[in-house]
Amino acid sequence: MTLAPLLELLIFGILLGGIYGLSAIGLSLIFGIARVLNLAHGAFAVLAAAVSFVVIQATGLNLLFVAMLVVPLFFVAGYVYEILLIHRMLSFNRERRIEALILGTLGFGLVTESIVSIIIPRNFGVNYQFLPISFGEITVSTLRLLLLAVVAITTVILHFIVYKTWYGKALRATIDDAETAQLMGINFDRITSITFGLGTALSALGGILLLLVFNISPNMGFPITLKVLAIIILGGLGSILGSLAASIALGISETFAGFFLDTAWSNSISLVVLLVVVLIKSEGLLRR
Amino acid sequence: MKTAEDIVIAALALATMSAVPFVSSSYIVFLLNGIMVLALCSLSFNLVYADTGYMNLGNSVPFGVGAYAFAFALSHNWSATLAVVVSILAILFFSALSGIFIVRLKGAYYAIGTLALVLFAQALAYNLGWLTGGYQGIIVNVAGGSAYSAYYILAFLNAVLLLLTAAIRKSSFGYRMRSIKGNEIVASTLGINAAVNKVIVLIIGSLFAGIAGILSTSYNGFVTSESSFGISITFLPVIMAILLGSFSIVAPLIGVTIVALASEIFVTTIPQLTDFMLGILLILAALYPKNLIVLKNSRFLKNKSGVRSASS
Amino acid sequence: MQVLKIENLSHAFGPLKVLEDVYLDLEDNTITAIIGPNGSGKSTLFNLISGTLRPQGGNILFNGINIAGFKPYVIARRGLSRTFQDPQPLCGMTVLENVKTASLLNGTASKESLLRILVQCSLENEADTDATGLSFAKLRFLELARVMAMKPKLLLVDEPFSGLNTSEIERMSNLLLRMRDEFGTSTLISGHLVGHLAKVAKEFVALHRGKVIAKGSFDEVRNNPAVIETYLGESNVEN
Repeated sequence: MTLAPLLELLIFGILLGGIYGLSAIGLSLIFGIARVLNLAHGAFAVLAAAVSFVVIQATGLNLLFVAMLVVPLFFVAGYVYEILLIHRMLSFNRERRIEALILGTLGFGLVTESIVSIIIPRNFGVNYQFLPISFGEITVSTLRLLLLAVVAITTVILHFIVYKTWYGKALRATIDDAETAQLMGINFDRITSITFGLGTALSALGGILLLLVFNISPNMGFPITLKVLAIIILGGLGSILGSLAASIALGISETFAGFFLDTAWSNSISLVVLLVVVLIKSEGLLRR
Repeated sequence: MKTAEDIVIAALALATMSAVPFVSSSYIVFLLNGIMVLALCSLSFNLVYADTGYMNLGNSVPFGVGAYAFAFALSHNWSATLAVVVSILAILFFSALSGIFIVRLKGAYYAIGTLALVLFAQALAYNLGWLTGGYQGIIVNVAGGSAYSAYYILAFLNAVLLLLTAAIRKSSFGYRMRSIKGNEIVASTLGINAAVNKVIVLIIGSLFAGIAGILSTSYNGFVTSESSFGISITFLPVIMAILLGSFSIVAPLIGVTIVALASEIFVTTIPQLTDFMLGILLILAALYPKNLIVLKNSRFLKNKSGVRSASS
Repeated sequence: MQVLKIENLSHAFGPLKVLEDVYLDLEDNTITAIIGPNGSGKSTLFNLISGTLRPQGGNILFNGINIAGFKPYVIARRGLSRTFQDPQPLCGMTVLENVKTASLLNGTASKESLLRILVQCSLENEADTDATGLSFAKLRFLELARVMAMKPKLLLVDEPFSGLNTSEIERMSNLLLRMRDEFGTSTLISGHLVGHLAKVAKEFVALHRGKVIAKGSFDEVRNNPAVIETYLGESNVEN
């Protein structure tokens, strides 16, 4: 039956989408609070993957364990990144700010990528042997189920953070009405820095999980960033559920495209999506 | 004072530059060609950026189109003239096509959209092997003296674009574009068709970038995805334009040379460090742009046109 | 001939009806005032006429041609100019360059003619100043200088008097009257200061919650019971 392999592809697509979704939610949060399209977002993911890879090779610890060490590290990285670089650019006047942010985050992404290619000058990935499970005619690798579980758990944790913690409430308040939030005592700068940290950590987790799925090349940073951009613009800027839905849609399209066409084209899909989405969005802005 | 000084320096520079090919090795000529190609791309980027405020990060796309089209034509043994004509047509076609879509984008979306275009072009270059030679690119046989003819053509084109940029800025067209940057909504209520103006300036800029691509192939003898849509050729001109401005003659030319030379050195030693350096430069450009571009009653205009009195 | 005729104009932002069945006539060489409290739809009306917003229903006949849905630059080229409630200078350009850009609509204007406009608007000393550095009042006059350079057949001025002192209001009123007499410009002027508006405008149209509630001369509208009810005593009539 040709249904079984299709379903397997579908599951893989959902998984891939889920991983993209983590990174997308991260960027969505960042955009929501600071209106910054962080072009270095994907580079962080790749850096996290590279660091994890090196650690795994060196110590032999398993990936999930390493992830639990590396992800918090990237929370700090994102936090510092905001304080040192982004914060300064956010204080520019409107005209200069957009240009500065684009070039600055672009440049930082380049720097990060070059660091990755110095650490690991080739493509890298991780292979674990897992026993497959069969549901009737469908064979699914336990690995993928595990990944899905990780993504699901992370989403739940995220939901908890955003809706139940002090930070989450402050975040939502600031996104809603920054001025009033500040008048009520919320420290905008602190919230922004924390959000960058959180967003970067999510991207890092996405990057690390991606290690399990396919080989990562050092200059995947920008393609990933553009993919994530396409997702959040498609799903509605600042909307978490929208980003999730859009990322799963993209994951599925990429998987099917890669299977039926050629893997080379699957990457281009997100670019086309981005171009189309950005066009529609701009048209919509024109006719306010 | 400054008028006479600048003209003398410009004339000297011109004379020196003309003499160079006769007294130096072909390596130096190659080097200078590379710098002038980057300078041309930088001026092309600046044409759109300075007056309209839009950052066309995809300026390497017409460059690549020109480079590949020319290489493709030559590798199929078409005559040089035909190759040039076809390449220019290709450049115009692609820039008009992408232009019509790109100009509908606003602000940050414009930059992101053009960036996506570059990556898309890169992907196409990799995958359409029959057209582009895939990963290896295309290699062509070039005549021995091609580096020298390219040298003079490049120098000429740089001068032309410099003058053209200044001329446009003073013209009604220039005013329209600046008003688009100043306040696009107001500009439209003044009767200015922003979209058309943006497309026109984009096509002009792309044309020069594309010709730079043609010339690049002509003296290099090869074209690859990396050389046409890679990080260096995409971002170096941007950095140069923003950090150095393109409105006086002397200072930026020196600065441009230094930057390009530095990147040459980096490329031949540690490639990874090139990207690193470019990234740092981009960050610097973001934080500290030296906006020589924003000159009121552009000093350059008075200089270049000699004794022309200040007339707005 | 009627310069402007608006029929059944409606517009809504989502569920919020901003304009409902608005109708309006503007004769040649006339200045008509649109009054109404904040939120009554004055600016939206102007945005619809100038093409900045796309109307959802109704006709806007400019010299007999329905311009509803046309792009702003097309409408401007047909002879419509406007100013904005919040002054919008062209950033990065000097005062003179602002006016020059506006004058491009009619071809190349000599520097003298541009300076003449600046003098009339008392801006000649700021000719080479960056437009964003001007005071609020001068920004208002810059808006006027721009539209003067365009020599429009139809002019929309959105609350031009707000934020100006009495002598500035008088200067601006004179300029509007001058445009009518010199270029034959018909003007729609919106605002709250009914007394000042009465000195320039012959006709009045009162808007309330997106609907036209009164039309006529100053006295007719002023004494209209619906208008009085809306304004609750018209405390902003300065006489």
